[in-house]
Amino acid sequence: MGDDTPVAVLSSRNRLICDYFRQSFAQVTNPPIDSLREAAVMSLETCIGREHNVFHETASHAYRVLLPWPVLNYVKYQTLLGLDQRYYRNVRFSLNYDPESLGLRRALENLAEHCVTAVQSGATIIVLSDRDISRDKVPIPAPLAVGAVHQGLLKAGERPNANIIIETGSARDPHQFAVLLGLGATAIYPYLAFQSINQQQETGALEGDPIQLRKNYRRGIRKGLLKILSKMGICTMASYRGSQLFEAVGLAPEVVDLCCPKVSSKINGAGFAEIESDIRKVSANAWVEQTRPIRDGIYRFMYGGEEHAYNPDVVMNLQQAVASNDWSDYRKFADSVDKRPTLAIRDLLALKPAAKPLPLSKVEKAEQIFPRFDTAAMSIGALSPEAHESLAVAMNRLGGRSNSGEGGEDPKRFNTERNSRIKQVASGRFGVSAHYLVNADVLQIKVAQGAKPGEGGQLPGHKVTVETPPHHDIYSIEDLSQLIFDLKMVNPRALVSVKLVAGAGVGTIAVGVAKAYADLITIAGFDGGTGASPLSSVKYAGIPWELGLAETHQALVENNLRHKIRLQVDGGLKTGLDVVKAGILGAESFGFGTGPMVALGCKYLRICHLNNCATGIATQNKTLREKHFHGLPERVMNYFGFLARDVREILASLGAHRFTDIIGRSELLEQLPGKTAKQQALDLRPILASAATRNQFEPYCTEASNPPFDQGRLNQEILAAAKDALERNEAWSGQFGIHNYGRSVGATLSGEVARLHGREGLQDGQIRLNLSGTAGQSLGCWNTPGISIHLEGDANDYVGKGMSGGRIVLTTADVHRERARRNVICGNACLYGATGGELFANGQTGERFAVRNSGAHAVIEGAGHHACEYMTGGTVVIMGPIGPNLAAGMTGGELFLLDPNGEAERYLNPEFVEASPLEEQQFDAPRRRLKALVTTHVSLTGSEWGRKVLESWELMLSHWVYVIPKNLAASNDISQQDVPLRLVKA
Amino acid sequence: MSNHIALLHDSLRDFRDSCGFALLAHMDGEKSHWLVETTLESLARLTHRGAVAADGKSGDGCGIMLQFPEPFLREVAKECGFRLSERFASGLVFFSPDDALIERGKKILTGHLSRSALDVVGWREVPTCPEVVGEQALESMPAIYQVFVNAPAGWRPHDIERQLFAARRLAFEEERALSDPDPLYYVVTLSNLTMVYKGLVQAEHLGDFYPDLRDQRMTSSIGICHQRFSTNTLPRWNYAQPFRYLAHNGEINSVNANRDWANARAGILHSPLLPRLEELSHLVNESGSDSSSADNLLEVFLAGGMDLFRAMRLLMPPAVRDDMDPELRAFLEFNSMHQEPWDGPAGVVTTNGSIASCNLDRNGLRPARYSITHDGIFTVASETGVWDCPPERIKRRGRLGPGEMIAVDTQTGKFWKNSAIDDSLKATHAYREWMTENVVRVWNNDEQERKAANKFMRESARQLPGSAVKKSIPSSNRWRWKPRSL
Repeated sequence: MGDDTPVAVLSSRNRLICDYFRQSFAQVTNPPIDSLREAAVMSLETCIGREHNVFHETASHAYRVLLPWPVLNYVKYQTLLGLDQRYYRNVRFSLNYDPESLGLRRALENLAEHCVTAVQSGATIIVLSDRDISRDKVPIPAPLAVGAVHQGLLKAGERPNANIIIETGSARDPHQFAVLLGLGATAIYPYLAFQSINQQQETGALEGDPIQLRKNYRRGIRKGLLKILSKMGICTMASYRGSQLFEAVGLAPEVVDLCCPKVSSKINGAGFAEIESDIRKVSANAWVEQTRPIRDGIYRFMYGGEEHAYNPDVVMNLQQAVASNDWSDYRKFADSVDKRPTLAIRDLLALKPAAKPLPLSKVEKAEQIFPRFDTAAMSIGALSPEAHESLAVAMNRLGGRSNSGEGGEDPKRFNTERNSRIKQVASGRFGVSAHYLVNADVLQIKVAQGAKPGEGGQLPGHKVTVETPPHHDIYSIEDLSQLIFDLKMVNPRALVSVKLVAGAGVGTIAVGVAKAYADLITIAGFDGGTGASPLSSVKYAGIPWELGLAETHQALVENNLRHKIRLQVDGGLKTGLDVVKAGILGAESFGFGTGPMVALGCKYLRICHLNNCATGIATQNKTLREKHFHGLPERVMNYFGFLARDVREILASLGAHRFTDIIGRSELLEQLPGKTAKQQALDLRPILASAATRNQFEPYCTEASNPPFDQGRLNQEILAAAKDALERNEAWSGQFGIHNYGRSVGATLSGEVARLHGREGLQDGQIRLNLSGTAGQSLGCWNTPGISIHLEGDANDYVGKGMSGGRIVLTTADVHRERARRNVICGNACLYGATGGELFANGQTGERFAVRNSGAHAVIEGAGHHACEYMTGGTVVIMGPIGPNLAAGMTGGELFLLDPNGEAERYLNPEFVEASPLEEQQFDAPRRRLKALVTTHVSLTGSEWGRKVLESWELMLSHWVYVIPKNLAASNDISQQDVPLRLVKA
Repeated sequence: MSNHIALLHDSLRDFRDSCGFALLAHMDGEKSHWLVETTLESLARLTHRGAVAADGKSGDGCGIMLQFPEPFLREVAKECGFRLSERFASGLVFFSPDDALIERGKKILTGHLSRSALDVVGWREVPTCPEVVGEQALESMPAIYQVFVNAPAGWRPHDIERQLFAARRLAFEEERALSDPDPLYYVVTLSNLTMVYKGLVQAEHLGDFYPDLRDQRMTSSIGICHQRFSTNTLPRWNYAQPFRYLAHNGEINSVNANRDWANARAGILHSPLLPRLEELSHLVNESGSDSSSADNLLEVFLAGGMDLFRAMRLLMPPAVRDDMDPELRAFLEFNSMHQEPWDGPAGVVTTNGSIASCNLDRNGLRPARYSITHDGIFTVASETGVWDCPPERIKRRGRLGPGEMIAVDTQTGKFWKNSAIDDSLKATHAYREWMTENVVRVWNNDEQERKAANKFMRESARQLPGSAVKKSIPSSNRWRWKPRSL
């Protein structure tokens, strides 16, 4: 459940200027940063003073004032104002102006001019304040003021000589702070927020020390800011300041040009006049005696508050319709949606019926429409198993597709009608094994999610565990290309889909994705989403899909790629009218999240994250599920039946025989004038014109798939050689040379094993692949039980990614044996998301070794930064140097470090784990496990260092450090029990 | 409202790119054609990190940067009948294939060069083989010329470089300001230290496209190559990399802010070595790719006399960590006060003709693996194994960690480890002392906050705070080394 309220420009209420700005976020071409687990790279440090010429370095360059971060409390604010006026002269400007004598635009221009003059005459600190309000004046919105001043100073070349401090009452939540900083503010003093906290404390509404309360508030804002920066992949406040990483939905060019020229605003909208009229209304209200503030219902439906698309009437009507399966009930539901007040951009677009409608019988059948319908990804961790299976059954019976979501799927469901035809691959890689991947028709890479793009899952512990913000194998477009290639190698029959969120430049990203050989792209609107997201993400990130879809369609057409790829839209689709409008704007396939859930009985209570779902849908609670879940696949089928009929009727009215006849035909839509001044200022022609872009091909997908340039020749050769043995379940071994362009080697073999022999795979060591040379990326990805890969040479990134069994051995040529432990033998993110199997590497590995490992055993001779991040299971032995941020977020498994130099103490991230000397008595069992692993390592790789370690085992024992999660250390169970380590037989 | 409807996707402006790169160097400075060939081979082996346009043949762009191949250039100049003086520079220039535009473009560049006392002695039409170019790329293929420029006697290479830089930038600005600027005009490189060949061809065909590169006389001890993956297929020859000094794999997330700040700083950047800086309207471009803007700024830094190591550390510094050497930390904090990071995943290879370096972003989001052979061949690339080297020839294999930088100096044969670079940078000045003595650090102070509570409450009741409270900073607020908890 994402945001179902109108964006600011469509709202009939007065919304803050900040609401027009949607945060940019990283997807595909750059990764979001994990601001929690990789906090050390982040910095909000803020510097006050004049910048100096970097060509010189003198002591006077250090005459600056440093703030730990840019949100000021009272003392810091006063300290800044009280700095030595010879170097830090401040000038104060009021943002309040008299609207009768001066328009907003003039007020902004004057302000910017005065600020430039002040800086030119020596001021270093510009203080902008909207504090001194009075009845006859109105405040310039703080973001616009900051933006105009920042731009004015930039143009004059004076910005490096000045610092903009804004004292404002309008900064309250992290997004509002981010907008101010992104538009150029140096620091912010949110006086009204502090004042409100004080007042609440005085009246007893809040308890505690006011200083502590204000501190807590600032801490909350700090975390929010870090999240917003990291969502865009930015590490430092210095780089974020003035970066204008927003997209404006519904701001007029005159506003954007003056205040934030690098923010894109595509469909016109509120100009200075409309904004000023809103401010005047708010200001007038401020002087009216009121008993309490107006409740706005922005977050949750409230009578008399902001409109919500899923209001109680809509929910009730839909449930009535799917229960009765009566067309007139559906019409009632559809009318309550189609005739609602303007909530979405599509509500301002009306269909133009054809002069001569077709009879319904001439329109393609419902069976041809159903394959266009998918249910959106909802994971098995978020839904009850009953609800999840009902969706799958309904979609399979109809010929549509259901989506497993990111939590994996019970293998018992494979090859039954309860199987999800779409299997999702998300950053957490829960249960993603070769077996899971080969049981899918579509493999969907969830790059981002509508309600919280640029963030990982953060469901509370009782639902699912943590998820990392980035895919650790997609930091860049060529990495995505590699992941798509991996998936196509492991399951050549499946289509690969990439789910993106509509945002500034999504068309550009989509073209890259198409060039990376994806077969499908899903564009999710900001309103798509999940029940459990931070409110600042639900409200302020992503844009309406109408914009993202039309842009993507246009970009793909212009690059001659549209006919090669299927385009799906997802986000708040409810009725046939929604589907047809989306089709006209460029989509040929449609994802439904909330609709089918409501059909199953969801009452839209917005408590999904609490595990308390009263309808037994979004909960793992057995009692709730048994007592309250009444969802039947038939109800979901009824819903889609209605939808198909609705779509067919509209197609008939448009005179279209087939759905493909309307794709991209934006002349079938016309813009309605809109009711409010802001709505009337919108210009939707760019959306319509973009959707209408043409090239020499059809404006929809005409090709079966989008095959990669690289055929994966080595994989084909290996499979051809091993095929008979696989089918007859016999032993096989083969020897091949390999170069760096031989990528994802072993994947095709693993896919075939999983397809033929299921999750258990083959006998240990039954298939042996001997390679020599340099392996390309993703060697042995999703390796299955029974496959052993032995490489002599070295390997690139992602070795053993997602492996569920078998063994990978990396060893060096004999000439390097002596110093192998000082050489790097494989690259970054090896064993990412592995669930089983073994890796032995006679050398060091790159960054993020065994990130999200949940079951593999590994012995390596050195690791880079962030090793064992988010690990939840398995055993890792590192017999060499380690890097910073070791074991960050590690909540399971065990880690052995050979650490003679005491680096562990320095580098371990102690948040979740505890390190102890392995010598301690209670670690007898782990010691035996370790010795078994090292012995195997030596015998398989011939490691010289491993041999030395074994030779002087007792002497070196004091150098070993044993790291386990704190909860396990406390309960002492794992370390005391003699858990036998299941080693793959050689 | 205008009649022209802007579309949502602006293919001219909206694109992202990423890639693979490789850098090869003879550490002892020995120049060979073998290195050029091997660099081309490495490039071909990184094809999968790039992308191909819808026509299945046009690449997204690739290129190669070499040391200034003086002997080769002298010989081809001789064949063309150009008289070169003892010191000369050369470079590749793209023009639209239109004689009038070519003549005009040549004249503008010649004019600016002569104002810098540099003398254009001839233009060589660079031999190319368009058969290997895809249809889409062919439509936008520029006319490619090599310019030869004589420098006055006695000028040192770096002086020549600075004058070339100013003249090239000013010529570009003049061309852009024309009513009908040549849309393809672009100086690929103009230098007496390096040479770049690049184009929209598939990696394996770069050497076929430019027969110069296959010429046995083309030698170098440094080779940098780059394979691009762009999110559009708009054939833009000038977006291929390497640029003049660097090749970049990654994306600069904060490029909007970086460009604004860089251009706004034009007023405070002064270097006696860069006399004509103020004539430039923009220090970095606003329209090209993010990587090209970074290259622009790097070029300004280098031309202004900054050394390569410090320049790269200013642009893409490692994260300041608690466990860091305080001296190094002081160096990084000192510099961070005047230049914000160009933030985002990055693997960058650069060269100034003698030193070749590679560095990664603070989070190590791009890969870089290196190897050194017993006979002194240094290779660093996005992947290991970009050229076939028997195991017994390899001396060691390593990788770059987050924020790390390594370099080889082909003049001295020195291999610069990350720690050696840091040691040399932090020791340049007494950064720690400067920071300790001069920086005022404003920390949280509950005590003061409590004392000020009454005043704060009074002001909370909608009173104006007195502006500019004059008082000295309490000594408890002075800078002190403290863990970096916010």
